[in-house]
Amino acid sequence: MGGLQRAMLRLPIRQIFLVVLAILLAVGLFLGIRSNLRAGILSGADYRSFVVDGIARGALYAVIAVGYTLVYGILFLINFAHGEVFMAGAFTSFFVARTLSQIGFLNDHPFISIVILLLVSMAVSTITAILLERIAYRRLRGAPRLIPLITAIGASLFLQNTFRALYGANTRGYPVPESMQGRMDIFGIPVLRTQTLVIVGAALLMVALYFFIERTKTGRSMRAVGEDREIASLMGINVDRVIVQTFAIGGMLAGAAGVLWAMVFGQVDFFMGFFPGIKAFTAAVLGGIGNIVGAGLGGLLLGVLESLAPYLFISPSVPSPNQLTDAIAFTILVLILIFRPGGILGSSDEEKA
Amino acid sequence: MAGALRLQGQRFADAVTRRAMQWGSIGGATAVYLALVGLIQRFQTRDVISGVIGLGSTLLLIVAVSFGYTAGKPDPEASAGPDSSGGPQAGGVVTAGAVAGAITGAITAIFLLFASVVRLQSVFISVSDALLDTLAFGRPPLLGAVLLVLTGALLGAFGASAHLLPRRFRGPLFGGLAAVLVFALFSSLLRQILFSLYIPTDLIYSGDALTIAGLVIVFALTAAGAYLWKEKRQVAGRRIEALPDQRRRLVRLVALFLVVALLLYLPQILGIFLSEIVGTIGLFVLMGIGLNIVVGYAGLLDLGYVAFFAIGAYSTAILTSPSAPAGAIGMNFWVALPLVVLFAAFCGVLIGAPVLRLRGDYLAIVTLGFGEIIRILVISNAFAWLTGGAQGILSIPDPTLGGFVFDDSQTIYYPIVIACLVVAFVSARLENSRVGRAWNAMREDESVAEAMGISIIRYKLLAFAMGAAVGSLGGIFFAVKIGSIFANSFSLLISIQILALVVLGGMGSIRGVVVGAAVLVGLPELLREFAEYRLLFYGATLVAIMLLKPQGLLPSERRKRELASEQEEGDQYEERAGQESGAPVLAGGPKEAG
Repeated sequence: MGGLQRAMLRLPIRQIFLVVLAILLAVGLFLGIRSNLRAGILSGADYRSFVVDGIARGALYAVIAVGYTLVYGILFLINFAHGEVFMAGAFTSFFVARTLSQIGFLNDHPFISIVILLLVSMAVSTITAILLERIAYRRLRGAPRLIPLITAIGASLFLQNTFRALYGANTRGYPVPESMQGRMDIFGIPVLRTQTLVIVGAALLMVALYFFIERTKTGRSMRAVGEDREIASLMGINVDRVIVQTFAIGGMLAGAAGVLWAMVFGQVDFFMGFFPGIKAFTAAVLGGIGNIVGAGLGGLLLGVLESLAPYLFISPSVPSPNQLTDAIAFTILVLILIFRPGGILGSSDEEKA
Repeated sequence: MAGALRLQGQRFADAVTRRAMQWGSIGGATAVYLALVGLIQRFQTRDVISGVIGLGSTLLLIVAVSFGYTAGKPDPEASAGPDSSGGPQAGGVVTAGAVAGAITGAITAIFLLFASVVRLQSVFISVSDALLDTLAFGRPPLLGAVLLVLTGALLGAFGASAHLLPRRFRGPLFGGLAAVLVFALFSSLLRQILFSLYIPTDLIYSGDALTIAGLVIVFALTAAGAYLWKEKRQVAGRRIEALPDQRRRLVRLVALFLVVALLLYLPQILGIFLSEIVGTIGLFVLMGIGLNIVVGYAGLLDLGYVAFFAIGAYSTAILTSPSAPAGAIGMNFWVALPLVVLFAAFCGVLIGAPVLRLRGDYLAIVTLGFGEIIRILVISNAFAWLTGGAQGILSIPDPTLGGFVFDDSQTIYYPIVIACLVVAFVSARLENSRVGRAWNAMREDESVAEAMGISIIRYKLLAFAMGAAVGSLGGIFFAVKIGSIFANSFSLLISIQILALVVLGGMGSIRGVVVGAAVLVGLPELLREFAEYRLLFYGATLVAIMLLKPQGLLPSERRKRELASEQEEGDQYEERAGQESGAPVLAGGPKEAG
């Protein structure tokens, strides 16, 4: 081995690469933002409505992200099929919503209808999540990490196509109560009524979850199992039951998010879980996986970034920047995992992450 | 003493029925699932035996038989208990099977009755009147329900009674039944092949289903063949083992020669349509071998592998197509090939470098992100000047070699097969080289490998580069085979498909990749009429393999050895799992005591 080669090998390739990447990114962002603000295509009101869009979307990411974070905190498993759990509830609740709307109940009693839909969706999602754990994941506890992950990918594909076969491949228009349509003014910003519903609903769910985890006995045993499974079981905690409860809570929240999502975007189909799922995972990682507050923060941040970024960061000379929204979400995911795998609230210790 | 024995016998019977009821319920759930997702009715459009039984009914039949078989499986724990004679009790086994089959039938019957009263089709699109008719054997629902329970019990008992057969007959029996199914499923294909071999098929086939005579002939021939093969294979193997070295090498050479000759002549036997499918399988074999290097050897789960497929295809198109959006370069295919491979390897390093320190599952997500970013960029208007956006790139010229044009599926087959062989050879050599061992060490434990002086950075980058280069070959030949490329061909599903075929065959095993590609790519191509269930099949395969046989169908030799040495650890794991689930730790305990 020549001296030059040895010197090459000793170079901290990775660090150099990362620094160069970071500099390039910073310069790109700066130039993009400057040129966009200078060009001034969009007014302040436009940006405000983008932010509201982003918050609504991000609030839902946050609620879904909880499912990833809780499961990862306990099993160190990326439950790839969680997006499908979300879809299962939303898609099933469509049929109830359709019936309610056909008999006129939906418009007459919007509040009760939404509660019914939420309950149906949460029930279906919870059952799906529990079955998923029981059939696909339980046998694999303690197996090398890649094996449950591959199983989760398979389960995701399986659930997606099961629901496609059950309910059909068509996209269905989700009925929204008349009183929930249109916009309302909040602090002078016009906001879609459904978006208000979503933001309020998601906030309530997150607060309820926080107190559940922090204050109840079940929540405490979940935290204990997340801390150390073996010791928790020595302390008399039934680990299997806690894991099922974790999946159930994640599924419940995903089901609720499913109805809210369907109301905002007005449609459901069998593929609707895929992108929200990955983005919710991104949100969980962004905030620091295993951390519920982090999931909330990460969701909001991702939602806002995603809706602003195409118009703020990408130069106006690029045609149809909105096509790149998903690419931006993935770029954020990749960058977070590369530079700070612990997330915003997590430690920056990469090995543990 | 006698009382105690009777008590034990009672407990044994309880255990048998409990198992039977469990398996029966799972069987019933399976049958209802198959009905709800529409598989049964969709399959019923094809006949297995002309005018006698459709494929959908056959599917139900298989469910009942296989769950009867599982329920009747003599439980090692139970059979060691009551009578120490060891052999399964004939009565118990058959009863267990019958109970399981009857429960499977009963659950299906309940579904049938429910669905014939409540109209489900406005929600579950597949629950049609035709489906109910199929489930009820074409009779009124009530009679159909009774028949379902009875046939269920009968089939379950049949499945379970297979355990009473000596082992050497059991294999041929199931082999023969499977062959019947295969002959029925691939009837048009087999008819064509038999026709080209001048074998008349009118006796065994009528339309695209078997005749009753065909059923008997196919079953008898394959069962007898399987029996003889099983008996004689070992003898033949031993005889070859006994030969002197030189002769053995000769035998191996002849075998190799035969395989090569078959590969060369294959497109002529298969015809255009089948050659097309074999070519597609070849592309996936290429990419499977590439991903196998990354996942199987180095243990890096790459979910964005389609990126290299896309890079290979698009680079080839941009370099060679006269109608490339960025202006025609019009490079010769054979000049472009090495350039594209090198470029892909470079991209592999580029993608690999930032993620070097990430742990397995995060790595999977990052690569998935990369794959999606590349797909979105390729399809977007922002990069349309280079990639054509949604329009794609058209009229990619066929490769030519000294005036010979590889312009159809029968000719493009050859470069693909040669590429597969070369790549397989290189990959096999790599596996057993210093590099391969370093990868293996890294896969098992990164920190230990690093402590042993293996440069993790270097070997990870090498794995990414090799994987990318091989994967790009798939893209290159895809581009020239199809002649035009669109961004939609490069979705995440391709990554999952390649992962699924590597996993099915066995991570780290090259033979496994070939088998996996044949099953997961070839089968769906042959069964295009059921294309809507393709992805369901993939998902189920991934889950089932990981749960039941994580080493895959054809594990590599080294992996086998590793698994054997991990056996002890595995036992420990089982014990721990038992503790975790709160169940008393029984496994192994009584044996030590006795």
